[in-house]
Amino acid sequence: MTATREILWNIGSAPVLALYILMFIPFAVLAFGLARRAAMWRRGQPDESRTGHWGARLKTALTKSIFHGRIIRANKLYAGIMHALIFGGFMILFAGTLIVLLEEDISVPWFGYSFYRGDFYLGYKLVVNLGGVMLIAGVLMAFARRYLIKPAYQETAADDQLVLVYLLLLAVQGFVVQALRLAVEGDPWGPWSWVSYPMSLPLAALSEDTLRTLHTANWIAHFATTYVLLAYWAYSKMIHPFTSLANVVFRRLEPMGALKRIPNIEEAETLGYGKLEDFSWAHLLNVDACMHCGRCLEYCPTFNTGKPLRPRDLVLELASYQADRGGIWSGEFGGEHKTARHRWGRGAERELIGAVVTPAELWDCTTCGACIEHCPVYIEHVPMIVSMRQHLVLERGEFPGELTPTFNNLERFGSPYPMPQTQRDEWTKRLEQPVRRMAELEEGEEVEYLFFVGCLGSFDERNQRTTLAFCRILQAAGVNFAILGKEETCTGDPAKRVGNEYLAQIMAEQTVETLNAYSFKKIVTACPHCFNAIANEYPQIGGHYEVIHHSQLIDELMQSGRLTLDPDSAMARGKVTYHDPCYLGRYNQVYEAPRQAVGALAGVELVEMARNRNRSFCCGGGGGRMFMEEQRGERINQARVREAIDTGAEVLCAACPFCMTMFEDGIRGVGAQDDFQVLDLAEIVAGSMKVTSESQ
Amino acid sequence: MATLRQHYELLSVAIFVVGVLLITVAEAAARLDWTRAFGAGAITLGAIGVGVWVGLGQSARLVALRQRLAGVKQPIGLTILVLTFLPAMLGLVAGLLGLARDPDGTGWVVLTGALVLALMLAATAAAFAIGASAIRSAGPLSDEAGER
Repeated sequence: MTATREILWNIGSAPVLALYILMFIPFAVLAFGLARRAAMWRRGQPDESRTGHWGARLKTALTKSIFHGRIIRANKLYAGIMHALIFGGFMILFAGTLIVLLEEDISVPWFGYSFYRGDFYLGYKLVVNLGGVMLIAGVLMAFARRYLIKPAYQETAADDQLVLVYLLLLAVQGFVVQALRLAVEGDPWGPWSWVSYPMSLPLAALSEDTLRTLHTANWIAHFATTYVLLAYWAYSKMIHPFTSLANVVFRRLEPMGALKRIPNIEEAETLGYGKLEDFSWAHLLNVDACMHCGRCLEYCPTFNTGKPLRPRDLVLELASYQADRGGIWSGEFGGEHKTARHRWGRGAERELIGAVVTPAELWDCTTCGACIEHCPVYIEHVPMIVSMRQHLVLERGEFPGELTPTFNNLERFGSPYPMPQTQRDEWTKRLEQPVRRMAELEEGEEVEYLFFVGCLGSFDERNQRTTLAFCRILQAAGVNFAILGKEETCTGDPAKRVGNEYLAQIMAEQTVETLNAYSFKKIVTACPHCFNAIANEYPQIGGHYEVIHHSQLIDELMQSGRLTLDPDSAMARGKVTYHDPCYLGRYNQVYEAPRQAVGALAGVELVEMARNRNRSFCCGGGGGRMFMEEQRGERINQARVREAIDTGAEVLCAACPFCMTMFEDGIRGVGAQDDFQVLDLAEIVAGSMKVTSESQ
Repeated sequence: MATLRQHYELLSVAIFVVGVLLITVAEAAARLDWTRAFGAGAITLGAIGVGVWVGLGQSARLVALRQRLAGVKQPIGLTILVLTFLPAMLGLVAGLLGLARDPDGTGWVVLTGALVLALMLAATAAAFAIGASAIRSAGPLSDEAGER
């Protein structure tokens, strides 16, 4: 006797006929929804950077999405495993259904060959039962997370509930149908169905007629449920397996820190995103790819300090608006909830900025990149926000008043400060040894490092101390370096992040022209914003340089023994905590060099803040925020300073002039200036050197 | 373009009709059961064709249909919920009732079965309640709902 079962056991011709014919409805409804969405994405602008490199794209999709590489993370084990169980269980059951179809509709009628028997059948039963258990376990974990664990960033709407409810029902029905058949047939190999077999034993005590009636009813209900889910798929969060996977495949392959340049800006018809049709098609796909998980909120400085901007909600607002404009239902179940995804139906003719997304949301963003870094499906919140800022600045001339002097200073002086270019290298006079300018080098001479000082390091009193300390380190280690001096101008980063692309392009082109005039091996800078612009954005305009951050060079000099440190230095003593600057860490993955440098100092105990490395919390100064007033919610810099103080450290080690400025202000804001201080890594190391003078 | 789309819509419907015929033949004559796969494929293809071509267009009728459906989504949702949940819940309850009739099998396996049935019934009942509550909350969009 060979192990197998009769497919469509106890099912007459009529239900089978109905099953196949009614299949039309869910597939047509699903195709309609997908077509409408595709039509919406096609309204977007072209973006050539989203295609090509198919091997890399498919590899990412496979490893990061299908195999959950970006979904299961060290700090997201519960949610990751939960998702893997639901996805894995569903896929096993889906494959199981396909196998039955293959046997019943192709293999046997076409070739007279049955593979659904013997060992294969027994293995199939084992695995399919496992799939059902995985799906049920994953759904129960999801319910527990929503109703018991309740992460602060998660919200539950009817759509979330319905999707889970129907997935659970699908798996339960499968077991019930199987158990009812086993109860009647009493297969000797029944125990291979290790979940439904024990269920079948109590059922077997009932009459056969009852069991058969229940079996037919459950079989029909099972397919009805499948059809309901299939039809609902394109109009609910269940769309995400399609859109998220597509989003991962078509993700940007350029560095995360490189914002796209508006090409031929003088003749561009539209500047930035002022309406949905201005978005690139990939960004329209982005907003539909959101699965509402809220991971973008967990380390978001605006969400965590009570500001209007919530990256997930911004994306969902755009998705709802897109649904309105595309004439499609989306997330409609749950109108009572005041959540972003239920703002659909507000009208397709609303103004994008103002009625859909508020200017406050756009201007509150610090561009820290925590949302992008933690999004499992690579949604690009920051580039979309900056593009909408571009529209406000360049097309409408609407921006916070505090930015007016910044723009004026950048135009007139080449820096955000009202300081003449001639004073850019005044700080060098405070050094014991002279610093060479690139312009002073002999013809054909090449330096090892061009030290790009940056505007804050050049003009800001506090950050000049970092610049001086770093120069002393370079001089003590005998590094062959020079600066641009009066020729240096802003890289354009602040202008670019606040949406003044026109000004940013002028500044960037000017800097590239200056840099290209000289010979050097590498650029070193103490400013992660300059670092990011030069390393990641300048290649777009022909500036190709090897750039390193001062923390990397300091670490290298320490490791190679080129710096002599004083083990009894009073500069660095006790506990020090290090803050990861967003533009150094998340944007450029420099996490270890600063830690190694500080950790190598005698007498220093490096302690970590709860949020560190790619989970770091912004200082609040990026994205041009340093030049704007923080009018809403708790102050971001103070929140971060409190976190640093909570470690028990006395020193907060910074590695960015923007962070330095924000933390100096934050320390005063929380009244901790008497027993807590912020020092740049260069200051700490320079203060620990044996050969040094009054560096502080 | 509209003519082309209508042309494809009609073609899709025709493919669907062919699919229905093939499925019917397969069910009617066991020797012709090989047509079932073609029938299923044609129905799916026809459905996708109709869905895509209607989806790529935009008509006033479609907008009106959407609005009508939005108005009755609660009763539709609740009806579907009851119809899909009821058989499974009856099956699980029947299993528990079967315990009282002294079922065959090893004691611990029967107990395990009873436990699984009870847990599944509890989970299904809870899911039904959550689903009903979710659908009931999906009333027509009020002016306040979702207001910023």
